[in-house]
Amino acid sequence: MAPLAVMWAAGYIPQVYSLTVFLTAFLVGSALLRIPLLAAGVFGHGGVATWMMLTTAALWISKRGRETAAMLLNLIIIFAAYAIYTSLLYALSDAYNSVVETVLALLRGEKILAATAPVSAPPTSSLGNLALSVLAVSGLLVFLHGRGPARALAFLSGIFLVIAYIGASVFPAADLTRYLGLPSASMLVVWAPYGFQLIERKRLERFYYIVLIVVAITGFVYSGVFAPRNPYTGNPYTFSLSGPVSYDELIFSMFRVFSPMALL
Amino acid sequence: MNHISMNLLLFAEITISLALIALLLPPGNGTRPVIVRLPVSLWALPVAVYVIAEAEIILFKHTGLGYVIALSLALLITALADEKPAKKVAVATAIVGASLVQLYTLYVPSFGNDTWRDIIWAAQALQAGHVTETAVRHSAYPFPMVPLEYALMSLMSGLDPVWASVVTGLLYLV
Repeated sequence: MAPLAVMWAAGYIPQVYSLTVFLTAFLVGSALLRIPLLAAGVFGHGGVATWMMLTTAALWISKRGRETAAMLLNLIIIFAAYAIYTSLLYALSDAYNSVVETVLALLRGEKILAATAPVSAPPTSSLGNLALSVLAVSGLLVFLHGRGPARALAFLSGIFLVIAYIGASVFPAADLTRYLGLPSASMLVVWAPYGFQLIERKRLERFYYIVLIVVAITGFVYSGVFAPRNPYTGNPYTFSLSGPVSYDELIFSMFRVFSPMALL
Repeated sequence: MNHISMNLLLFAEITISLALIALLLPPGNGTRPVIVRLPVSLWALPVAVYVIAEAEIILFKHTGLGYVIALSLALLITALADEKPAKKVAVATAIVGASLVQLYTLYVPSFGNDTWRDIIWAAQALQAGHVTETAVRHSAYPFPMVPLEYALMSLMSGLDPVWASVVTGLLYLV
């Protein structure tokens, strides 16, 4: 998740807002404080709110705690009220359809090319996703060797990551990597230290531990911190700071006429 | 058209390879993982990265290989340092934060469509004095929390909504 930290700092999108608020709600002990946080999260982004409901439900199924049950109930009530009384329901039903259509399209062996075609990025841009590979590996280890609710959450996050991956290949316009992948990867980040601990305890740790860390750092450095006009990345479509730098440029980039703006 | 692009194939292959290695490796002997000890404080790393990047910008007008290597090494040393996790997180955040601040001094941050929409929404909300009676609307955000946040920050601090967004992004990172 490290590369996205840079992207988030440069582009604070509603999903990130909602996710931050929800993750804080997990940590807050007081129910009184948790309710406004849950409401702010639901108002922030309906898709992330759905993810939060599923995650809390998984947590409740694996743990059966009273506190988790109360949180799930509060979340469902706030979400249902907000979705019914606003236009959110229309947007959400489309989004849910996209997820179902993506999975069905994969099973049928089709590719949905609705809306905008994705801009093809150079193969090296997949380097930027390597931190996600490390998270997937640590999530797998937590699922296989971990204990308690961590296993259920790692399993659910892994499933969401797989659906997001299928979405990226079968139905790119649905942008499932953002709606399902981002929150699930964040959840895996929370469990990553536990995953590394499992590597330390069970595996040939000295070498592989470093390999995974180097892979994650390489992905981060490649994707997040190249300045515009640097000679190493000329691609404005990766998760880097080499994207459009002003609103005028954004309009230009829509017509695929990208010209880095010289501010020096 | 191919179902899976070259990028997705590479990503899947690397992930599966790493996962396979993790599952197939023999159990460890319980020794401690590799630890790097620096002769100076860990807090020297953000400063070092900043200085190298700034020097490159002065020399080349953009960041270069030196900065990339320095950043990688600094993060690797932080990850392997024999320190408390909270300090490691703080130092790593400082390293990334210093990089961002320094890049922001040269370039306006890169925004996507959504961020521009939220910033323009916030600016319109400030003019109209209402968060939903604006020209910008979106069915997925009946109550726009993020534009409201930018508008409130802008109102309280006197910052332009664009910079309110940047400050929020940096605060989020911290």
